[in-house]
Amino acid sequence: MNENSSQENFEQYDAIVIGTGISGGWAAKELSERGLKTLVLERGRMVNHIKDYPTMNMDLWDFEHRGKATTEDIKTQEKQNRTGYTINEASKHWFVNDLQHPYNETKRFDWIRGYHVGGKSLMWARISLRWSEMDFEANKKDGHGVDWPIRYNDLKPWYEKVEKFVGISGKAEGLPQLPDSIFTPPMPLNCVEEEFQKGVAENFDDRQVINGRSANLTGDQERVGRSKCQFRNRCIRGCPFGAYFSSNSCTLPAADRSNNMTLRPNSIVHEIVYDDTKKIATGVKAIDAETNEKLEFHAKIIFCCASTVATTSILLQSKSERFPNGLGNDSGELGHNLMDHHFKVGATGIYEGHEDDYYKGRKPSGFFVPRFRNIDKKTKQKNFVRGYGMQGGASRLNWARSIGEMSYGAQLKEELLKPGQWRIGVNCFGECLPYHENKMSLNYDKLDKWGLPTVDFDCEYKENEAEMRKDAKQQAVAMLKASGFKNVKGYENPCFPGNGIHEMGTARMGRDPKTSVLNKNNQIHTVPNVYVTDGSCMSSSASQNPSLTYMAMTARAAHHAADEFNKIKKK
Amino acid sequence: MNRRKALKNLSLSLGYVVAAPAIMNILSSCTSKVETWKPSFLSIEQKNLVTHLVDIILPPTNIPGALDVNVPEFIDKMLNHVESESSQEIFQKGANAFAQKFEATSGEKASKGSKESVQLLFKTYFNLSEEEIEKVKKEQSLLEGEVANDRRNAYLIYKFLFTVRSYTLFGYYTSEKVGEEILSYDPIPGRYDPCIPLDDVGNAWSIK
Repeated sequence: MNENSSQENFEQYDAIVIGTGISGGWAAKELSERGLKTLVLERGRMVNHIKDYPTMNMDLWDFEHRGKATTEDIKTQEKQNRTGYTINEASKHWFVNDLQHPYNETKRFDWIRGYHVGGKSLMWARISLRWSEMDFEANKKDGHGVDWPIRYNDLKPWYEKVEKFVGISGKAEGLPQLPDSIFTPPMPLNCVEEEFQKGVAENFDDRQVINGRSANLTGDQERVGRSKCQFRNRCIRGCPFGAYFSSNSCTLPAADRSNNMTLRPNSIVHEIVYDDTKKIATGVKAIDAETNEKLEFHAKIIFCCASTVATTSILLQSKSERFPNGLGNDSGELGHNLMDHHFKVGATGIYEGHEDDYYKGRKPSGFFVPRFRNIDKKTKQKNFVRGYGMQGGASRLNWARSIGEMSYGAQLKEELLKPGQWRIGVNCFGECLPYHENKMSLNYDKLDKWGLPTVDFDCEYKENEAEMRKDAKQQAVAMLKASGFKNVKGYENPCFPGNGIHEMGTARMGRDPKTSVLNKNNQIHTVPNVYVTDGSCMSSSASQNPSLTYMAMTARAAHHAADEFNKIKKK
Repeated sequence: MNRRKALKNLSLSLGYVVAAPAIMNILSSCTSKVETWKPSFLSIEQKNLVTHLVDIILPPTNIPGALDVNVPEFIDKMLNHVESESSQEIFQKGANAFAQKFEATSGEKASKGSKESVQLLFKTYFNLSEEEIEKVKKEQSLLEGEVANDRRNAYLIYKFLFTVRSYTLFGYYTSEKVGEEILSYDPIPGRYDPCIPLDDVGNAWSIK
């Protein structure tokens, strides 16, 4: 990979991509494959595929504290630890040091992130779901937020394009609310997940349990530099087989093969330079994270893929005479309409039976229950709009089932060598409405160690989300009970925005420049050579995991940009 | 013979379907000695008591016990590095209360007390009727300040004993020896079989 480490100011490129996560990787790949000389700037350190995955082959006993975070770790990563699963010895190195990267919470917001090449594409949960026609129509139909300037059919060919490259395991179901992807073979449900599937099919006519859809390679199709899933379920550490999709394993190597990409890690972009006379952006300003050197790069096209919050932070910092409140912020919507999926609500249960059955392999995926609320007249709810999906899995309990019990001795030791009962868990992920008052803004009184403003969060879930959660819990309990599970317990744990790590909005797309930041091609309405294709572009959140949509959206915008670039070049 | 090598050779010769405990019988003659070690968190008294407790909770049989995989040392390290200050404090209080009780009831020094005497005392706390067990569990879910004064000492002792017990299980079942040689170890499964007879696997899978 061409790593640019020596600074020559005002280097000229055809395109600059800010960020190397799931969106940035796609922008880098598509732009460079279309022949554009592309500079990719990443604020964090370099992470080479395989070479820089230090924990990928470690067993639990290879870690000093058997995987557990120490009190020291938690002190330095207190906010990153709020998920409960990110800060441990296997994956803590992918998450930022909160002491070095502070932010402010007018209301609690769990801003979970990693500063390194690959971004969250290294640690993501890989669930890949298309959005449907009803998701793009929702804002218009119920009046929340602004109407999306695109519809499902605008994105459909781009879903197909990215899916062919990514490889998504799953099974076609023909559901209107969850269009099928181009799939590689599904990861099968285990016997108790099948019991749940059967139970729901027998007792409910409006919903179904389907195989999880995830960006883990299955089947025999060949892909450059990748092999299929080995069922280790250690994805979050980086995969030595390149079996799951990440920028590091897939898009950045592809961009590199084009010989048109220059990747520069440790480059903190903080401003997009706007030329008041030409009325376009001409480049970006950055700081070298290691040397503090001030950098400037110029390009015809700029892609903002730094993540929802970071992209909007850069746009808000990009002030000029024309745009005193941030680049493209005529509408005043920049920073507003911040969303995330709410979750941590559902049910658990025990299955009595299948005691002589077990599985081989650790499946990095589970089952999924597509949204079944408010999808047609029959399923319309009185207390809330939109809906939720359910994710989960079943497995046999391990030795930890005995924690908190009072047995001891030789018999206990033997007993815990055997797998325990089957347990199932259902976790609901719900749509969050776009509320203008849910926002992020910049705090110039509290600067980070590079002298840049920090981010303030003022965001909360409201009535619609609360009502949806009540229903989600009730339904999860009802579905498990109807399917014969025992000891069914519903739960609804506190859930704060950010914790779903699906933060979206803040630079939304729309038809009207007065109420939105981006147009139907992800261009800033008034600065058409700046494209925003990460989560910040979203006008609504739907209930599906968003990464696949970011990929499709980015590929679509990159081809639009390349077309425009070639038009100008020909003139 | 190096026990681990012996086992790996055996696994190879016997193939995939192997009942681990049967092998362990053959190999029980090559158990390694418990290392001597210096605690970083536990006092000398606590080290002695914890060592006996660990041995009582998961004793050696034809397969190794908790002492064979150095669980006391593991507990010392986890208490020192992983437990929060407030739970360290509770642990100390509980451990000291248990030590006092031990010295008062056995007449032995906590630092040198025998396993038999520790077991006698431990039984008074853990050999309970179902009803009493439920009571203890309920009480353990309270904060220290919420416990009645005359129950405070017992509450702290239980906190200590539960911590030792849970770390004993954690340390034992995630140890290299148990994880690789006794539980079913398969770091690279290569495929997913959603539903196979448990007998084909034997013991539970070693966790990732």
